[in-house]
Amino acid sequence: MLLMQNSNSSFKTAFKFWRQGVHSSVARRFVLATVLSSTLIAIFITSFQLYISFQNDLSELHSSIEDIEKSRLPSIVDSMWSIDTTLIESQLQGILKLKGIEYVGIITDEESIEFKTSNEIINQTTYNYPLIKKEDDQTFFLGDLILLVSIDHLYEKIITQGLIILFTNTFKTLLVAFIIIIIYQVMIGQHLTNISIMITNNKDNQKADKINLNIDNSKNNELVILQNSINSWIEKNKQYNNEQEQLNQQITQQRDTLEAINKKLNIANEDLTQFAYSASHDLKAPLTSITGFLHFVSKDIDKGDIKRASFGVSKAKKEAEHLSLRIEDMLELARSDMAINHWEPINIDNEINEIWSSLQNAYFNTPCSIKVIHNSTQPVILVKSRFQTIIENILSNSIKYAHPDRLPVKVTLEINHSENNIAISIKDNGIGIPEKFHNRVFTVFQRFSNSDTPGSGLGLAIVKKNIEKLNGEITFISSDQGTEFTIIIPKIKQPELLNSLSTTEQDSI
Amino acid sequence: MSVKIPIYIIDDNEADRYIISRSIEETGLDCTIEEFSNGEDFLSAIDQTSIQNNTDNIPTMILLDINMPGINGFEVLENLEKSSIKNDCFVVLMITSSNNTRDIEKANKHYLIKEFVNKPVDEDIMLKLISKYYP
Repeated sequence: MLLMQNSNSSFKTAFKFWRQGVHSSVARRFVLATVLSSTLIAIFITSFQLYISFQNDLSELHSSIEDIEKSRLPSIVDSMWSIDTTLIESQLQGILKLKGIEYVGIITDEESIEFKTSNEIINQTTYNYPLIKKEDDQTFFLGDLILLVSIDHLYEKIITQGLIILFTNTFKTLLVAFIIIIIYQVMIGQHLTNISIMITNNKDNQKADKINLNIDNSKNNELVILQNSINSWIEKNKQYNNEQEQLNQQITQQRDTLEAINKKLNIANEDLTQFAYSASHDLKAPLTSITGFLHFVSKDIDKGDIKRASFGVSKAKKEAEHLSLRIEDMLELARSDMAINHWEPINIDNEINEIWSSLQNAYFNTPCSIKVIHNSTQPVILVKSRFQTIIENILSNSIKYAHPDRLPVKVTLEINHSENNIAISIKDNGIGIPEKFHNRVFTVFQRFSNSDTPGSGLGLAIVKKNIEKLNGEITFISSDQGTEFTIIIPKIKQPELLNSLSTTEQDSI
Repeated sequence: MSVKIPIYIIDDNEADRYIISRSIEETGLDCTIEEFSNGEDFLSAIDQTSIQNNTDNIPTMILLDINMPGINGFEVLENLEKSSIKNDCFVVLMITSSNNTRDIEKANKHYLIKEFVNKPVDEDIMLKLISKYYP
């Protein structure tokens, strides 16, 4: 039962392969070519064989005829001499029995004895042997022995043999063709089909799967080699595509970075243009005033009015000082931009106290007090010079723009630590910043009070620049009761790392 | 008897005020100069006094700066228009360091502003201007 099932399933498999092969044009052509060439060769060889066989038979016939002449003829002559009719007849019959002899006969002057076969003769050859007896010295002519030899039978033989070979060969060919298709399909065809199916299915280069022909991979035959090299191509293709994608991503990233840098550059450029415009305008004013004053001073000197002249000179001097301060502050602003950040731990309270004492000395005429609220004594990692500039500028503003009716100046400075930032708020009770100027507070050369009070209008621009360089931000609220600035600076964990970067690298973080 | 020309200077910058008033003085013309360092002071001053009571019937020349803290030059004019003072009581000239095209346009369109002058001025400029409006 099991054997039957096994053989049944092998038949099914064989049939399946046969069907596949028949549908494959390659298989059909293969089989056709094989069978055709095999058949042609068979035909040639068979023809040759038949020819040889024919020749053999022919020579056999000839030698048999020779044999008649050599061995039988003398005995016939003897029988004729002794006129043994019976013997002659049986001898002749014996000759007739030989293959190819169709007629044998002895013809004398008087009579003839003939024997022939009943075959139809188409091709024949006549052999004539004179019967000659030599006795003593005399030669007696007894008659003629006539043979009719036909090779028809040889031709028949070839034809028969040929037909048999033809039929068996045809049968054999069909059987072989059938089997070859199956063998071809099993050994080659199915793998070709599988390869083409698997490769066609791999349309998406990214997800290409390796092809598996289900063959014994340990053998080193062409199919295994083909399978493996296709797979290695698929692998390479995947890699290549991955690299391409990575490269594309890199390019996109780089392009984005470049765009961002470009934007920054444009902004910086605009800032610069604005600054140049404001600067030239605001530097011109004191200079114009100086020229104006000196114009009248020279008139006063001509008139001899020394008092007025000296008044004019002192005014011109004051303007020159203004100009000088302004230029100083512009340099300060430029320096804030260019300076390299050196990050180190700072004791905030100490710095604030130092700055406040020196401000108190500078503005000794204005009574002022400060209250510092700081819930930690931990040092904070900052750039010392920038921190000092920021605090000094804001605190000096608080004193400079004090409200005359609300003295002494009261400043509250509060510092709060969170995990990632420190927040510094500085509140004063001064005259505040009028609302219409709120959007210009940190722009260069903006002043909102009388031109006579000292200050170049760059203080808050300098503060903002320094805060930016610390990666922080500054906001404010202001009313006529006073102003409060809030500064947020991110905490730095690894100053050594930052200190090793160049300024531009730090800027781009 | 010549009538003194009343001139008001409104400018927050002391040096500029000095230069303007010195320039006027050096013209030799007979003028009375009053200086104000901001627009509010000027407006409260004219509320009280002289322009309305000007019996000599000579308009006051107002030399107005644009950029001042507090209210600027244009805002001073707005307030002036709203006041009860008649328009022919004064001649307004804008003297400013601004060469902002918007300011120039605004001044040219304003019917009260007779001239737009760039700082610095000197006595020659003031002479021409004052002579133009007080022949």
